[in-house]
Amino acid sequence: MTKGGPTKDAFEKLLRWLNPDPEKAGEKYEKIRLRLIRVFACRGGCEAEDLADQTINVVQSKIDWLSANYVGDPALYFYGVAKKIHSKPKPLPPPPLPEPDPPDVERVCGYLDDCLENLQSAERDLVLRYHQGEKQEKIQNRKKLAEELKISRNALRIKVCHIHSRLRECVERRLQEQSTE
Amino acid sequence: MALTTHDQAKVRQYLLGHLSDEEQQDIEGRLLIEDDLFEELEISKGELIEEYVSGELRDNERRWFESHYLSSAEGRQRHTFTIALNCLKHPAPVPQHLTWFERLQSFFRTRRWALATAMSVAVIAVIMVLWLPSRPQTSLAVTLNSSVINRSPTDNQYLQIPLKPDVGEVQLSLKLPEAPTPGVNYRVELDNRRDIKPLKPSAHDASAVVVVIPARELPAGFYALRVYTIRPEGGETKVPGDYFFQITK
Repeated sequence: MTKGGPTKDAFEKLLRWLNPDPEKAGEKYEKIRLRLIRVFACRGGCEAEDLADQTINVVQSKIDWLSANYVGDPALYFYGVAKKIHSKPKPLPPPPLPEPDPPDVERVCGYLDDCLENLQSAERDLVLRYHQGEKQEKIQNRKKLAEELKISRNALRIKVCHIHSRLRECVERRLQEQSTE
Repeated sequence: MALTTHDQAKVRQYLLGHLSDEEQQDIEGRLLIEDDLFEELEISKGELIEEYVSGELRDNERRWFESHYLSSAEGRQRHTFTIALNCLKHPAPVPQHLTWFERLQSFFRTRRWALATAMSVAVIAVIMVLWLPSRPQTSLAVTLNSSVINRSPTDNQYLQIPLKPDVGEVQLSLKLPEAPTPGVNYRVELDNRRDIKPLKPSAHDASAVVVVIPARELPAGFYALRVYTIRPEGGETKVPGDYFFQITK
């Protein structure tokens, strides 16, 4: 349930509206929330999670009407609300992006090295080779890599994206562990 | 639903702010319900950050990307992650030929007398250096590449510059990633992570801008230099990338 949300009862109704199976409803809820956060992040600003939660709260507040009347994929209704929430007047745009502090980068580099060690060697080699070269050389290198693996270049992008995602989670975990020590 | 090349391009345009409001809303609605498109968004974000870090985006795209996705918490996190990916050390390939150092190591391993002689010579050399009167302060010349050029994953972003006590000034030659338009001038900023100090270049040509910084103004730490071209008719443009270095003492 989102912070400051209406009631537990409304939340349960919302889940039932998403899917009668509680497990599937939970998954659908998480999926919609994550995607709302990602869409708000693409629109900029630091408050993507808050905006996603505000969206969910608005939808929850209308759950009785929605359960009785709405036809279609619930995710699209969430998006309709999200658009209205984002179109409210906003503060000034954020200042230009500062370069990450070198100690941050160094720390992340260190954790990334450790996290890479935890990958299977084939995946580790794939990530390292994927980032070799510059511009045209890099493109050729990736093309060759896809050919070696006998997969399309798009399948290679997806494969590497999944490994990156696991690496980012691993690095984030390490950073959080360090901040709680 | 399978993605088309057109969808991939649309996602990229979405992230770079090239879509109309209507197109943007259309793609966002689809992102909420189409798994493949959402996956494409995740991949494209990673690829665009790579291009952003290596200075491959056009100015307007760069600005849009900075003020939108990269200004979010997730964008900042992924930006740092991508810079860290560039620091990755590649596994050393199996050497085909021995390097000069390896050959030297091998030589000394098999001929212990040679090692003893070399060490004696080194000790004598150190003693001579210590006995020599202290010399006047010197200038240390270093060439730095922009982070646009230093983008091989094996490159460390921060070039280490060890500063010995006798160094009075550091002369940094900042290699330009592209040949400049004739007639432009330059200004340089030194960012030490606390303040940004303006620096006046001491010289420049078609390939590099030179700045001289007194050693006393460079305590141990991390630095970034930013170069701006000043056009004859006014206005300035940042040279893509930064020049990172680390002073050690």
